[in-house]
Amino acid sequence: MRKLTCANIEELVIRDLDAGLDDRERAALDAHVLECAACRELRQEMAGLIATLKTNAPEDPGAEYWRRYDLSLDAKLREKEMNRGTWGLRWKLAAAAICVVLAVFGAWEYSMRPDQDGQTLPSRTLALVEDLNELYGPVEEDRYASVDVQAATIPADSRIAFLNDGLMTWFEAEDEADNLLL
Amino acid sequence: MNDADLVRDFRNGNREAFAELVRRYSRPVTMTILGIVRDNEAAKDISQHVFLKAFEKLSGFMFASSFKTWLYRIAINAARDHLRRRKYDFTVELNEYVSDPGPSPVERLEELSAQSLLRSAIEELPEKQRLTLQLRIYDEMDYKEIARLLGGTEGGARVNFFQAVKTLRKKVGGIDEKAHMRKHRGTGNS
Repeated sequence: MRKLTCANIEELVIRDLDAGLDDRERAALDAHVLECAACRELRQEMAGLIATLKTNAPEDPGAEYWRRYDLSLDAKLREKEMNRGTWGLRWKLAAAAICVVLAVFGAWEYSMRPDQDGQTLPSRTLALVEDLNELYGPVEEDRYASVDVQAATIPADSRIAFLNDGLMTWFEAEDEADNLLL
Repeated sequence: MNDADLVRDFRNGNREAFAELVRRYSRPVTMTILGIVRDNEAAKDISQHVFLKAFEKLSGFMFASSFKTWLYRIAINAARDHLRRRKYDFTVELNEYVSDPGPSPVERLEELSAQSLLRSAIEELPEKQRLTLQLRIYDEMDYKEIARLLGGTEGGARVNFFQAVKTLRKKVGGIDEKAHMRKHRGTGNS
């Protein structure tokens, strides 16, 4: 052990009061303070300081304080738990909605993706319908699909002219027939 | 059941496990915070905030340290934050006090008891020394635990404690170091 001097006695005194010294160190300290009045005073002061520090520890606030503490903490924890639960449900609903949107988008994207021939699902479907029509004839709803509605519609102002043309054509045909007979 | 088992139980959905952790640590943690902030109501609020935070963050706890160390670390950081805010408030109050003529500084000084003198001396210590001193004296933690909580080494925590005690002795012990050494030279012991 290094020789005790007044310069390093303070640390030893604090260690003694803090966690204790081994027997050899304690004996050396005791011997030094017996000879040195100033270090003896220092030791007493330190002991007083540490004791004061210990008594300066915060006092227990009492049973009522802890009762209020427990009650309010419990309420706050319940509130937190409830919020967490609500948020959990909200997150689950949001996640489900996102999944549905993604599934729909994915299906649409897949259907619009061209195959090896460069055809998309709708165009493939139409081609298939056309093939079936060729084989078995159009289905009931498709039967009149080939009628050109635009062409079959007669504008109102030209309706009389159309009728006149029709009649003229008919009379001409009649005349031709009569001529032939004559 | 140890703390780690309770943490695992809580993560598996057992709320009662967290209630048990609260029962184990609410008082010691609050007392540690009280030792730092010296205000019952503030200590209660900070401590409850600590447990609410633990409740929220426990699912991400990685077991890198013990639950106790993790919890105390949250508590000490929360108490530090509170003190920083209060220091700002105190400065504002002090400015108001200076502008308001009240009792003289001598009268104010006379009002202070030895306890409050010591308390103010503790508050003037550097933060790490002050916290080390409080954790060592009030919470009777060992240096290893203090080092884990505040960061640094066990030896560093011991040095901080020693330094804090020396500083306090100089401030409130009434011993002038130089006079002490002069006395020694006079007796020939050095």
